[in-house]
Amino acid sequence: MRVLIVEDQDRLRNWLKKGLEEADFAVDATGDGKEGLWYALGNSYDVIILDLMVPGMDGLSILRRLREAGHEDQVLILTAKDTVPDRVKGLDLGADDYLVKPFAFDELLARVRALVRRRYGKHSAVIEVGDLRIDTARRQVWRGEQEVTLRAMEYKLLEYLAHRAGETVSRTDIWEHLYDFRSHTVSNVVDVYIANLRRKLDRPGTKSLIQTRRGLGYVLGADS
Amino acid sequence: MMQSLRSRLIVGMLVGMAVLQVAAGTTIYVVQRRQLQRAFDDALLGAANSLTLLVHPGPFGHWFDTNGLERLPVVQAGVGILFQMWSDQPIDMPAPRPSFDGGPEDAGRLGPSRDEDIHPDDRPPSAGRRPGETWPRRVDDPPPPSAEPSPRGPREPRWEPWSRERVIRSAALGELDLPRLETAIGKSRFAAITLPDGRPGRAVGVQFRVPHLLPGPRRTPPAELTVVAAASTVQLEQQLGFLGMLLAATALGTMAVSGGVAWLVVGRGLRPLARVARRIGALDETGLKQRIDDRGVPREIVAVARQLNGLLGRLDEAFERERALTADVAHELRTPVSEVRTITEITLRRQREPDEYRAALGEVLDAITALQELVEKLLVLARLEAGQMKLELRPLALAPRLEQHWVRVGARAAARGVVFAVRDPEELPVLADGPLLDVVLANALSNAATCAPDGSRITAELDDVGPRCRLTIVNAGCELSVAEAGRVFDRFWRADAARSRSGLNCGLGLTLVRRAMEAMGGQATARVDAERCFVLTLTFQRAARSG
Repeated sequence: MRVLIVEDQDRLRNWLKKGLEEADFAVDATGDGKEGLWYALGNSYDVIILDLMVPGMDGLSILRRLREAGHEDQVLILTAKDTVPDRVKGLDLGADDYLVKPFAFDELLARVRALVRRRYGKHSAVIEVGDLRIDTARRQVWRGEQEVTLRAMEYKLLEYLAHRAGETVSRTDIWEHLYDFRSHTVSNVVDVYIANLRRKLDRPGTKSLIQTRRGLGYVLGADS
Repeated sequence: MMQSLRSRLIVGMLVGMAVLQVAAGTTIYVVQRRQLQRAFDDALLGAANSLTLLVHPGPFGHWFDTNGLERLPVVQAGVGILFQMWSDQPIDMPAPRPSFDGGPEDAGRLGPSRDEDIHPDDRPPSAGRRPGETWPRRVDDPPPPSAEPSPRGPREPRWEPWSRERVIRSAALGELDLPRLETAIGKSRFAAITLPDGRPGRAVGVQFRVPHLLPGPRRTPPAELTVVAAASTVQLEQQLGFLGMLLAATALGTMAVSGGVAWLVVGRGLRPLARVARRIGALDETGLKQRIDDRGVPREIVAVARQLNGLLGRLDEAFERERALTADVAHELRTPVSEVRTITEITLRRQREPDEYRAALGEVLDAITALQELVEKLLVLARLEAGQMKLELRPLALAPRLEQHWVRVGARAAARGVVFAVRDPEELPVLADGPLLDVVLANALSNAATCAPDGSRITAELDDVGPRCRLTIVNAGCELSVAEAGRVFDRFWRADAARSRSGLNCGLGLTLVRRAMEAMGGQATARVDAERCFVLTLTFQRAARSG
């Protein structure tokens, strides 16, 4: 899942990025409002973490421009402004959540996860596709009764596919949601992870969970 | 003591009215008294003058027309006139007609003469009168029993007995005397006297001369007489007393009625005040946004209501500023706190290498340092604004301190290629408090260093303006408009809602500079010059140059 952080405090921004990356999010971060808007308009983020007081362009303007441009990204406002009018104004402008500094990082993570779920129309932290069960909070995957151990990138890919279960997900989508700008990966890396997932999840003699739509992308649990 | 507006108004009005009433009443009384007295005196003088006309010259001496007395208007009017007449020669006086006796109006009548012992032979030869003459007049009535019969014996027509008198009195005087008011011939003289019967009265004295009638050897010499007419003033005083009572009663009555009316009217007039008071009372402590409704309030009280509304407005603004300040302080404190918390939480989420911990702690230390600086600035500012800072103003040199502070706060800017230059050709000492001057210079330079673009130049120039020294710090890279330049001293004010990039520059620095300068008897101003440079001007008190 890909997250954008727009926060002008250098230390806070860098550590948020570090913390979210360690929680397996692909993170882009900027301290400038205009740059933040440009990132947000040019990419498909699952969640945007927005500070209200950033130089260049303030958070509420970014939010307004984003919504005017029709972007439905989940936006979490992260600010030291805690008055009710501030919160109301932010939420009314189209923010999905509001968190006041100082905050507990665990809470921020939980809220970001909840926003991701909401982005894909899910309510539960556990996604079930057939007998595949993914606990997004604990980051555990089960196939039937058996737990499957996945590497970080494999898990990220599976979670993304599971969020969009039944849909054809293009390689570009996968690319956009799993990697930040700084990632330098070779073009067939997605195919490699798909192959690894099939090897770890599929049972011999059965149809693969992940189907390839040639020229379009992949589908998780198309038949179920 | 008297707190009621109503009582004050009414008492004031009544006192005013009382003064007016007394003045008017006194004026009326005095004028009236004078007029009555004048009328009284005129009547008295008229009576005296009439009396003078009763003395006639005759061929054989002067005589007093006793019976003409009753034709006098004053006698006819029944005014109780007393009179007494003195003459320098005996006056013939026929006996009065007995019909005058009795009755209250006999005051004007002649009284018994003390000169009755004058022998009838002393009478003027005119006593040998010719029959048919009208003078002296004939008396038809029999003479009073006391009257001496004519020495020539009774005749027909019978002549009344004559007497020759030097003093003639009205009958009511009896044997008593009026004071003899002497004056010049043709003049009159008034006096307040006590009448012989003890009543108060007024008298007028008139002196007159009755000339001789005929020339020749037997002519009568002119007689000089004084007549004094007097009357009781008891009635006059009664009239005046009544007038005084009437005036006093009118005044008291008027005041009582006006007091009552005023009580009602003032009470009614003050009712809007109570209404406004109720409206003010309805404002609660959260009601600084509320205003007193001044509709339907009298003009005089509208001013009060408006002033109160103005005060409410100013209080509201002050409270708003304080609220905004509290919010700003909270906001500024939260930022470093949230940094520390986030860094710590993320670091603790998993086992890490020692280097990672070290790096995290270093960043936490940076954040804590920023927090400390902010807290200290707030503290200094609070002390300055509360006037709790003890200052020791001494002559200090600015240039070396500027250099020192630049080394400390300008290190990062210097790394960006920003150059700092001090120009202090005269090495002017300024009067300042050392620690506070450090606060000023550090914050001023820090602000300049933060704003200055890479490779630009910051200049600090010290010059002499009369009794003061002026330090001008100029840096390029100002993004403020000319109008916004003055607001940089507001606490936590920023050019836009977006925060400035530096974590340290949190909108307090220049506020602190201005407050500190003011505390040291100087001032701080800011402007944006034509080249879009930010110009901060600090004016210090000039110190006497030592040596």
